[in-house]
Amino acid sequence: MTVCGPCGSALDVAWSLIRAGDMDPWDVVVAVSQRGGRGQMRRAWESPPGNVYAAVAWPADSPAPESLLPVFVGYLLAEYLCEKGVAASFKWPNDLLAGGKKVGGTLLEERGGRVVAGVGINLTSAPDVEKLRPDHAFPAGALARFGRFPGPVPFTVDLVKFLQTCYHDCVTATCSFPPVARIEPRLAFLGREVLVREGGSDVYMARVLGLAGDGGLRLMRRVDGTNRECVIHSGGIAPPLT
Amino acid sequence: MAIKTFDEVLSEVEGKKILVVNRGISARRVLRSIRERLRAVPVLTVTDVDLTSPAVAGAHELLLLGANPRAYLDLDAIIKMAKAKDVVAIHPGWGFASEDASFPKRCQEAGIIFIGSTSDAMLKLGNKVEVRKLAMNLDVPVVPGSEGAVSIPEAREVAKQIGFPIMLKAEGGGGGRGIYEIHDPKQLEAAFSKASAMAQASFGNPRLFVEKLLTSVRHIEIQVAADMHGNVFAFDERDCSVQRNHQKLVEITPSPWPGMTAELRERLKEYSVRLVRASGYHSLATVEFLVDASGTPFLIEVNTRLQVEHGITECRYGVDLVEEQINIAFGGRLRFNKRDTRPLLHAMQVRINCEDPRNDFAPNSGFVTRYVSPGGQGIRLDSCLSAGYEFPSQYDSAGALLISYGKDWDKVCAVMLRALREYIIGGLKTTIPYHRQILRHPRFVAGDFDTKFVASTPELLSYRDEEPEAMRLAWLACEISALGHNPHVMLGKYRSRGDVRLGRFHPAMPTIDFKKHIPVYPRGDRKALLDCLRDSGRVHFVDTTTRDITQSNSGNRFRLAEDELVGPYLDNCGFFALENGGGAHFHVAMMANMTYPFSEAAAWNRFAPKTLKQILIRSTNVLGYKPQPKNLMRLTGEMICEHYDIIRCFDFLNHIENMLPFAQVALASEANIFEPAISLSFAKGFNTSHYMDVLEEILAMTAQVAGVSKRKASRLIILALKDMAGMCPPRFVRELVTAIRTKYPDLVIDYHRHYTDGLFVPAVGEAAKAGAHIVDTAIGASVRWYGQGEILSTAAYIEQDLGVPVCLSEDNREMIRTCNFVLKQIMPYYDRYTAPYFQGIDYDVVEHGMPGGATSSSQEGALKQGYIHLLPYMLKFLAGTRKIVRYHDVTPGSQITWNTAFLAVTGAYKAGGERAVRDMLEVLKTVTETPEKSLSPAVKEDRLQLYSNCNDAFRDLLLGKYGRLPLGFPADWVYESAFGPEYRQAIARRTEVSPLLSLGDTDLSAEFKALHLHLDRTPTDEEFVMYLNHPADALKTIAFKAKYGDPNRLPLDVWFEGLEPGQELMFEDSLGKPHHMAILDISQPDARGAAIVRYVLDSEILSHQVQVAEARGRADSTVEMADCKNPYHVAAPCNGDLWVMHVSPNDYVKAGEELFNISVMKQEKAVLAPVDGMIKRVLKTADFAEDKKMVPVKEGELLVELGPVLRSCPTCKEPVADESHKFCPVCGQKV
Repeated sequence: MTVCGPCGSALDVAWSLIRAGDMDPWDVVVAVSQRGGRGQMRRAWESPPGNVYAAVAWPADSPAPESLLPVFVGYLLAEYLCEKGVAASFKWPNDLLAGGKKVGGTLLEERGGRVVAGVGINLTSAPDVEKLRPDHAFPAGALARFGRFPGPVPFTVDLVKFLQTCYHDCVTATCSFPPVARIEPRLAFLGREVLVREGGSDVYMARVLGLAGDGGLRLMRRVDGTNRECVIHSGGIAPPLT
Repeated sequence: MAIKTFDEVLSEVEGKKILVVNRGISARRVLRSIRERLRAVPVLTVTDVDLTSPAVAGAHELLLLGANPRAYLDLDAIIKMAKAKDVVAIHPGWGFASEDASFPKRCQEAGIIFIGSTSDAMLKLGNKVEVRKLAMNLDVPVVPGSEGAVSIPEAREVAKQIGFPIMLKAEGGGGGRGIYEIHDPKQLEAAFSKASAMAQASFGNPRLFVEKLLTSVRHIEIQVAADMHGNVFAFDERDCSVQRNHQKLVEITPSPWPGMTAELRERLKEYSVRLVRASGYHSLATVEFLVDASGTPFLIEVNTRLQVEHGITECRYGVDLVEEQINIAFGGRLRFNKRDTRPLLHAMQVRINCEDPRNDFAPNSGFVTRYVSPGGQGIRLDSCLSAGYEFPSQYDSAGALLISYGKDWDKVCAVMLRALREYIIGGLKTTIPYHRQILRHPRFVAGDFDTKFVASTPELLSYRDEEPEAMRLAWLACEISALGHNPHVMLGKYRSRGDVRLGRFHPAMPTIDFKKHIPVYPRGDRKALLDCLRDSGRVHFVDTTTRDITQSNSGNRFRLAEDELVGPYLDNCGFFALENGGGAHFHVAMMANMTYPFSEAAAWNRFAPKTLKQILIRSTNVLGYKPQPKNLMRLTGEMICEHYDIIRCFDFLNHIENMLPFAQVALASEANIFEPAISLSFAKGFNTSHYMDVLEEILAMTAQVAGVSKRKASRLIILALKDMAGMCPPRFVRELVTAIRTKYPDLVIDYHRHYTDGLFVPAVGEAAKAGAHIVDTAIGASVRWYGQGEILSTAAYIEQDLGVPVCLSEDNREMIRTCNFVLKQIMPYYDRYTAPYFQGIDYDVVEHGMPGGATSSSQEGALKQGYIHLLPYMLKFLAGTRKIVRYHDVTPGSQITWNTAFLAVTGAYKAGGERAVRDMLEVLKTVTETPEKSLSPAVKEDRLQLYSNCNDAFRDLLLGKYGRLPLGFPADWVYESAFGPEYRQAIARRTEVSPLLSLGDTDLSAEFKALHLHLDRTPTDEEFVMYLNHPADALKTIAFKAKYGDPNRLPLDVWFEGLEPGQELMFEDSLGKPHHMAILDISQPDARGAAIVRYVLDSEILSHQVQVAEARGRADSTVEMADCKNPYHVAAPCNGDLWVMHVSPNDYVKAGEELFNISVMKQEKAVLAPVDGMIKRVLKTADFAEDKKMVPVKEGELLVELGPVLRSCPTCKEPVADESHKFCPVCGQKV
């Protein structure tokens, strides 16, 4: 484990270590704070001290299908929090939710065959609503309201141990991801109506049916007066407007 | 601000822009008032989805909000845009941001007038906790509960004080949302967390407070208007007690509740005015109370905005509340006061939502195909719908607000009910039929309802929401036309749209003088009828045109519609009986013709009332496909006896005991004739003596049931001789009939035969000559190969060549010819579309014994499965097996035999090719021709293979499960062959007892309940019997009828071919009302495989969508794929979204540099340059950070093409871009 002081992003630190050949699978970089913490597609991730900003080097032998990996990571984080007594779930593909708020997020980056999972978890603080982007789906929250948690470093140590054990038990032994039926119980909005945003402009209501084998989200939507099942692999979901 | 008069406000506002920050009904309402007296310029916010909304037409200018459907809440952006457009005032409508207390302040900061109150006043009154505090201070009674927002332990404490049941309400909620009922203290913890989370997600405020859940209350609210100068006016109450899940459905003013007294009204108004004054609130507000049964009011909340139901107050008083809101906002004096503002009328509003009440009020979105709005006296409509509108799914389901007003409550109800009947919204399910149910409910009309009315009246949901039948039939015609064939007749894709048509069906129908023919056969009196036959000395005819012959030759697809065309003619031909039902016809009526078979039989007795009707049933199965228990048989039997005079009953094994239950039903009725049949085939053992024994059994059974002697019994029935395979030679028929006539001269005989072997006329002739009283024939135009023969030729042969008189007058023959003429015009359609694949006379049937219709379909099956070359072997196998396991090849026996032959031959073929098949047939031949004791051990061994591949039906037959085999059980080796090593147990298990004896009664009430559940209504008796006999197909027909109506209303050509654009169709619906339809256009199928049919029905132009092909998936523009062998091609590594392209053409890159990045479900893949090079082409770009757009890409798609570096600096090795450079731009070295 490498702990570093204020930096641009824990992910960048990890990549530079990888380039230098200094990062093995399950090694992790923990940053005290980040100046340029990032989420999906270079959106900003507010990173003041007190929260978890970690970059975990993922093993290279991830099984197929590769597209299931982000969902699996989201599931593992939700499982971890559940074990710690927090009723957590993950909003597809891998936002971490608890008590109706987003308490964490993951971003997987792949470069040259190596995968690094960036994990941001609001331990003590969460950004104010003004700092969130206008079309944000969920208000932000921190884990602190659910109880007492250790500081970012011990938290991350324990978390990575959990990830490693789970990964080994679930995946390495069987050379495949666990069946989606195991993952679905932690999926937020399962069976409920959500607003779906696909590809930027396509917006519609649908009911979440579950997960597809490749990690896509299975939905039931009404098209031309009939109910049709469909699977999405990009875009996102939000709670309905009313 | 100085007080302005209304006129002053008018001149101030005229020509100015007033913006409505809302959508749909709310926006449309406000826009109208802005334009009317105020003559201001209406401006409307619009998201992309709402650009096509009917509300848009009411606006003069639009504020475009873009793609995000939630943009109506983006107040900063909206106010900014409004400012830029010189908007002077903003109206928030209802919903969305109308109760956002920061809205007024934001407007004020931007210098825009907010049409509503101030932020402070809104907070005081709009926040549910604050208003409770205020009310308590003002001595306005509130619902017992907590003082303010509570935590879980506080909630528990309050709940203990006020007692369960309680409600958890969101502080920031309103409009009936954010309310949770808790009845059990144990639920409190869980419900609290859930409620808090939902409140946070919905209102941005997780705080909850507790209120007592009052029982039996009415929701009464007071509309208040106040200006900025201290003038306040309260209107009469609105009763909104008709609610579902706290959402209002119906609102009424004044309340029809008898408990609404003038004192209570004044009291509520006084409280409301008190609250408004104390909070310094101006503009419109509604103070909501719950009033319990004793008339005690409790304040629940105040809505600080215009409300959905404001319209009924406007109708009662004749005012415009929105106009007044604007007047108030601009500083005008309140124009409402006790002297000038008086209530005049009663009014009621129903909310027409696009929801399906019968599906738990699930919201509907989609295309409004038809829109006819109500109107006339006493109606006001505020809608956001029109024909052709695509009702969006992103917003609430409010479609329209329908108001009726009138002098008193009764008038208002009557007008509303009338309007709801007029209101047509097609293509979506709406709450219109549900409201009709409410309006008809006596408790509603009596004013005797509280807030629990909807929840406690489930019968409101019992209605049928159906379009008129003419429209549904038009849909059916559209579907057949778009597909080119009728998918419901179960004939596969027999035709497609472009195929040549037979053309329109316009038969020439000669007129009939119905008075001319008087029936000679007595009806309703068994004895008289039988005596008539016995004493006549002539041969009589049963006509099978509409059943057996068309069953055999046209697969039963002859519809009731065509029956109705020929039936009246047949009725006047003087036939003894018309066979018009039973057999497979009963099933196919449901499976492919979508007709209720007993309704069909009833129709027959209406359009052909003179002639007796005859039905064919199977002994054990009656009209179904498996043996029926007694109670079911009785039920079906009763219905049969009601519509048919003569009931012919056969058993394929001649196990007469199986007919017993039906004999009991039929013989009990003096009006019906029981006609047991002997199934005939001709083979060793099946000789006259054998059949005479069967006859003895029949007479014995009849005698037993009727309680008479055998001789007497022979006078009570007709005996049918049924040669279904058409294979008994004429000489045998003569022998048999002679024997029967000799032994039982009083027994009336009906000879029935099929044409299959080509010897119909000689065989029927022999029967007639030998003394048969009745023969079965059909009208010439329908005669093909597998049914009966033709009547006039058969009659001529019998009469003229054999000298036996027939019962056919000259008039009869004339009518037969006329009927033939009509039938001739019908047959071409059936010949084209329903004829069997293999046709022709088949003398071979004498060997293989398969009956007509079965021959063709079985052989077609062999062809389709690729075994046509084995067909001769299968038929030989049949011929051989008939000699081993001996029974008659009628349904279901023929199917069993065929399947056994098919399985045996294909099994041998798969094992060892044609050689093995021939060997097997050799064995079979040897077995049938050589006596047992002379068989070699080798053959004995080989013969065990013969039935080793048989199916369960064959095994069941051997076990006696269908009944007793007529010539006893076959030899033991057959069992060894069919059952394998356990054959001895099989032999021990076999029985000769009737299968009916082991059947327990059907649980009729359980079946009835099941059907009730399926249909969601009470089934009719006929539907129940249909369901008991053929459950799946009965449900199919019932569903078809509900969906499309009675398909017999459509003519024959449309049924098979559909209509071409431009062709006119006149048809009548089931009520006899005439309609006109023409198809205007049928589009080509789109990417989803759907074609749109535009058509005219009566005077409306409508359209209907038909799924004609599989969806093709999104049409892909051609995408250039990377060449994986080319090192300069950089492809997308997987399917995903390209969100950033870092490079542009002519950039230089080094190996390992990131070129672009693809996002796949939040995994971001960086794609790196494989080599050093120059960017030649970039096929797609993206920059999500800049424009928030992602570009979908496919795996392997070429995104970047590199090119080699042309020149590099010898010193620093950097690439030199331009050809014309003389010096390296990096290090200066000369190049």
